[in-house]
Amino acid sequence: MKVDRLKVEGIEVTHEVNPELVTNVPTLESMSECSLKHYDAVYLGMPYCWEYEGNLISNHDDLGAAVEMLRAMKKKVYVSTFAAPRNKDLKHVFSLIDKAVELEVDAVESTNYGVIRHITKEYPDVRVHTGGLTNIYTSATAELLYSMGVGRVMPAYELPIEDIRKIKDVGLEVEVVVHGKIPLGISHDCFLKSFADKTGKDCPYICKEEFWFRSDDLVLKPFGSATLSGKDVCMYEHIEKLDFVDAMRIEAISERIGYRDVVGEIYRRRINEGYSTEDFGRLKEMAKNGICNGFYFNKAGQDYIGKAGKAEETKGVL
Amino acid sequence: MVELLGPGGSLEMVERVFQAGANSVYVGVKGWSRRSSKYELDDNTIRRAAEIAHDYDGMLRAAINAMPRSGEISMFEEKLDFLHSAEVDAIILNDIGLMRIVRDRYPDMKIVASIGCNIINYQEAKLYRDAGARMIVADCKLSLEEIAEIKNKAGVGVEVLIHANTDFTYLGKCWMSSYKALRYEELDGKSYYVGSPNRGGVCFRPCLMKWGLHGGGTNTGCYAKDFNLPNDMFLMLEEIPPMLDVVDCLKIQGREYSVGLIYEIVRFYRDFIDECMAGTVEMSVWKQKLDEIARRRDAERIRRTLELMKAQKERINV
Repeated sequence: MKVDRLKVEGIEVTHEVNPELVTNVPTLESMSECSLKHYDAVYLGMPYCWEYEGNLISNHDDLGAAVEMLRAMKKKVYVSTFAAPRNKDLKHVFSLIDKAVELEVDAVESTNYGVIRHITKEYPDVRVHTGGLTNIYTSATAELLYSMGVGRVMPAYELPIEDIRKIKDVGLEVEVVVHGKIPLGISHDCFLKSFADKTGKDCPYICKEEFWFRSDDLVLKPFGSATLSGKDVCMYEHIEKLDFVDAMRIEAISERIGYRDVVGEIYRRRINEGYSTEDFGRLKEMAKNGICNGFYFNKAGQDYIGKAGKAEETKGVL
Repeated sequence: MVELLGPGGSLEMVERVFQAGANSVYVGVKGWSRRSSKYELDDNTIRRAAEIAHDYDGMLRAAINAMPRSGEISMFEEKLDFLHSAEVDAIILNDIGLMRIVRDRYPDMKIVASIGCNIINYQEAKLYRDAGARMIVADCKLSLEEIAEIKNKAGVGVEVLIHANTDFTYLGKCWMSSYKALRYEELDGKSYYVGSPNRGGVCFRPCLMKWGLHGGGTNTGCYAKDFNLPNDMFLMLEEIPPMLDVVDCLKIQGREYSVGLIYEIVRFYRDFIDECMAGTVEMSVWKQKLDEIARRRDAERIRRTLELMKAQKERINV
């Protein structure tokens, strides 16, 4: 991506910026070589529910197989951990970390300060990434994490671009979501499964189906104990504004294989070749509830600001 | 002896809460707490509130627990200097990086890790302790057994909310309100995020709107309608006696309620705790009294919720 223009001794210099393109997969079944070929690295495991069928954070044999697959594809391998562990969950999380260490993965991701503390103390050589639910709002918190040995952070989803840059200035790597449904909340339980009698679907299958919570203009996607945005965050038009980040994530944990494949291909092309009206149109078509910018522009998360800097209506097809 | 902590949404409320028997009162620092500015206090009023607290041999806590922008850390430090000079006894913080700044700048200042930190396991409590917190607020969804384990393993004081609400998500881990209707403002160089509870704006309570469950893909149709996403108020009673030997502080939330109602709630709990300590409590009598208080509280809450929902439509701060 030729975007970074610096003035060196009065002469404008353009140089290559190559952010890592990453995505996430919940299960072994959701991994296909075709859908992952566009990515440099992959997070393994669904962090919002232990019971999610086939979840790689609950099934260590599958995790081993998934790591092997990614290695064969020459991808970097990251392992996600359960996002909201209570005391009783910690032994399971620590067991997963032990397994990840044994498999020599490239990084372990956590969104819980207790788990982050555990890894940095017990496994100082293991690279730690923090996820978007960690609530990293300030450079002061980024500095604390950096001093603990954390290698990469995903700043709080609510941060605008200029504040993400301040986190980057601390010195650690920064990863952001450039496309997909971002978490808008996490709870202790799954609310969707309380509708099992009405939908005829129950745990652990219900969140593999397509359901939405709707109220007025607001659409949410329940997924395990998390609630995701109904709209797809889309930074396709604005990707140059994020040229300082180290990794760009396609958030696809709740999506089908085809989504990960198509969106990954489009963003890979965007990074290597630039903007395409056709590709942008395809992204809009795939976003069933429309697209939004999240909080990158200090606006309501579900608003979409176009390239011209104006709000645009993106209702989607549902 | 467990500390009873009450809210101070105004100077009048501060005084009345002490008169009702609280040991301490918390107030919000204007522009810096997790509530509307209407219920926060300016510097002069905080100084006076600290004097009132000390006149009653009580303590004043200042909530400075909205997540600031990285560029506002120097403003935070100035505010911290003021709070120290005003002889505030403790500050309530959300951002773990800022805790470290407070610890280093004013080692004598007691730091309380806010409910917004969403501390749900003992490893996490240890990290907050390492960063300077002497007390943590237990998430409302934790059991007493979990709280005791956190306290014992992390070696920190624990505060429990006895009048509060259990959100749809974990508190501090919800961005639904800002996703729906965030509005950004700047005033005197300080940023305000109307609609983002984590950043100090009000929560528009989207969970209390009327929701429907809709299917997509092969599940088209509406499966349920006119339900709320769970968000319930609670007033504890039977849970309190076993807590008295475990926790360090019982907190009554409610800066936005009327002074009269808050006086009644604090008086009720003061008398109840004293009677529990004396070993003479007759639970059925207290239950009846609490039911009456709950009815008044619910009426005020409904009015406030409607006010917030109206504000959300107009994207204004109330």
